[in-house]
Amino acid sequence: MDAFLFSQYLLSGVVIGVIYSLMALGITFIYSVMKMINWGMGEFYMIGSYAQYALIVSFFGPRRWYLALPVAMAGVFVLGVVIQRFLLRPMFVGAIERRDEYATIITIALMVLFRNLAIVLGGPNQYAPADYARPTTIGTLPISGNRFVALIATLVLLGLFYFVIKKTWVGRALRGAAQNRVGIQTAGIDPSASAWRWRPRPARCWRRTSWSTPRTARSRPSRGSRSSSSAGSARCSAASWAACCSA
Amino acid sequence: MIGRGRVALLTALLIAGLTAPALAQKPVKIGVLTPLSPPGDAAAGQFIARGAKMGAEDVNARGGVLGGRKIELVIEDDAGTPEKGAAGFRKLASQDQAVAVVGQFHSSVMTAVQALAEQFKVPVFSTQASARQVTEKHLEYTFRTHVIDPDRCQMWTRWVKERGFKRAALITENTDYGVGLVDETKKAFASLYPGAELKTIIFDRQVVDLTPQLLEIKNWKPDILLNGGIGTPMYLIMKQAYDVGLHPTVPMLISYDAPTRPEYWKTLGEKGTWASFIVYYHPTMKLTTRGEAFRKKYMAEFKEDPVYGALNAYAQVLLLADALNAAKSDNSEQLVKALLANKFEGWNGTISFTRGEGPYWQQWTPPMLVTQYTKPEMAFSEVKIVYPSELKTGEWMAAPKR
Repeated sequence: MDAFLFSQYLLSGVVIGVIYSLMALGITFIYSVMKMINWGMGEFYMIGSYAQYALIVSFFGPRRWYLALPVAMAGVFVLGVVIQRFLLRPMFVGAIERRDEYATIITIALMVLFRNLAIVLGGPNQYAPADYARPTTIGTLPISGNRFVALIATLVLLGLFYFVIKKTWVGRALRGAAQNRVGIQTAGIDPSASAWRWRPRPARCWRRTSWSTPRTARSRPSRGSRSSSSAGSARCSAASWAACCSA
Repeated sequence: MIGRGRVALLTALLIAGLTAPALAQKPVKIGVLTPLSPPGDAAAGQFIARGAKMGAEDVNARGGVLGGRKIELVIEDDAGTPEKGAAGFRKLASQDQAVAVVGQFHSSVMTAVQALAEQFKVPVFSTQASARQVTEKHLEYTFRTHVIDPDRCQMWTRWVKERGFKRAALITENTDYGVGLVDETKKAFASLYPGAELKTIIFDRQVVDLTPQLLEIKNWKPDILLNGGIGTPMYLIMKQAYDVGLHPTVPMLISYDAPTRPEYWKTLGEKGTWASFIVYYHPTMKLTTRGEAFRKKYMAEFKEDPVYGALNAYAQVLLLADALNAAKSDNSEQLVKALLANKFEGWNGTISFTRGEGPYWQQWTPPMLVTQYTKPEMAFSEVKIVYPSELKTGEWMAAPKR
């Protein structure tokens, strides 16, 4: 193998590796926080692809593909919220005795459901939107416009994820949930329900001045998952954050 | 007082009187086992099912078979995988009591189900499975009305030779079809085009990034790229070959008729231009009365030209109806005898099954043509036949430089 071909292989591997790492991140994120494997992960990506294609073809048009991307992501996020609320949340409020089996059954069922729904609704034919950008080259590697856009978007998303996880209060809470779900309750975070919020509560609760400032020391003590589950609606538990963000 | 013997006789007569009409009206079931979901070529299965349904409708509109029994289709999805194909065939043969099964598309699935066809004594028809071994095994219940890969590979070798391409690269999947293509093409190049060089690459069917393989081919500097993917892999090769700058600078020949489907341009856009591809049907072909009637009905119903898979499945259902009538029974052994003893009207000629040598066993072969798209969004009805020479309607064209 000559050096030119080797460099192409290397770059190709790096590009596809970076893109795959985003998907791997979703799987590990869910597993580390929720302690469950989402067997339907691929189907969530598939739904995002269908949504993006439908938006480009029927709503935004091929030139405004960059609008379809965040809308499709938001759509899948909402789907993740709904699934977490109605199907996965029972795992974390004591309603399910065998949580691992429950999660496996639910996510495999979702996988089968989504896959067959896609065939029923989308038909068996293949579709693809037009390229977002013209083919380009990275060093010695010729690369499609779509893949280049995916590479840049992945790097941006990985950077954002790193920032959120490392630098923000939410990220610290998620890391805490991944390390010790019981332990973080002593710091006022209830990972199983809605005791910590993605929107600060105004009255009588702990205050945060900034999303980027860790204030776990000031956090409101946990009131227990059952009692706190009745608090307001615009809340998201650590588990739901993981499910929604990764979806 | 009526004796016991008379009671038994009356009861038997009553049962016979009640069940005879019911038996006479019992439909004859024909199974359609075809890919309707990934990883199979689901679009192909959809067209096959469509053609088979239209065949059953036509037979039933003409009064059915065996003195008024209707044809009932039972459609099963094999998903292009041998295990699902085997499960589907078992269901069709045992639970549904299908008298025959049509619709086979993937050679790997066909290879798996033909063993079951022997076991259950149910004839199975290859609608588009072309691997040599399908008919080379000389199985009693296997029939095919499609091309075989040795013929396909010999034809594309002759075309490569005619065009003067000295270095050909074949990229294909790790299925019975793909591996068969490699073997047959090597043989064909050795016998028909000894001076030419052939590079072959087999990839895993589940792989979605073929960039490394295509870069390797690009660096080998071929004169022609033979695309042996089926379904999604065919599109991946096409797209990614374009992205790495291989196609259309290097001409591509697609091994089957997928580009004739409406989804082709929706999936590839301008990347699909300049592809050459093998077809078995062309809108300018003279068809039989049956074929012409099907084409008109299909165009009226679906507002598009029929594709070969639909035509072939339609013809298979009709020839099965003819064979059932000739056998005067739905017994499988009688049906096989009738299939071998009679000639049937197909979509573009007369179909007959003989037990020839090698893969030409219970085999009928449609024509094979090489065609080419020369502009984006080109309708299939506009494409020119560029090979073989005696049927040519236009000249093959090289793509302009990008």
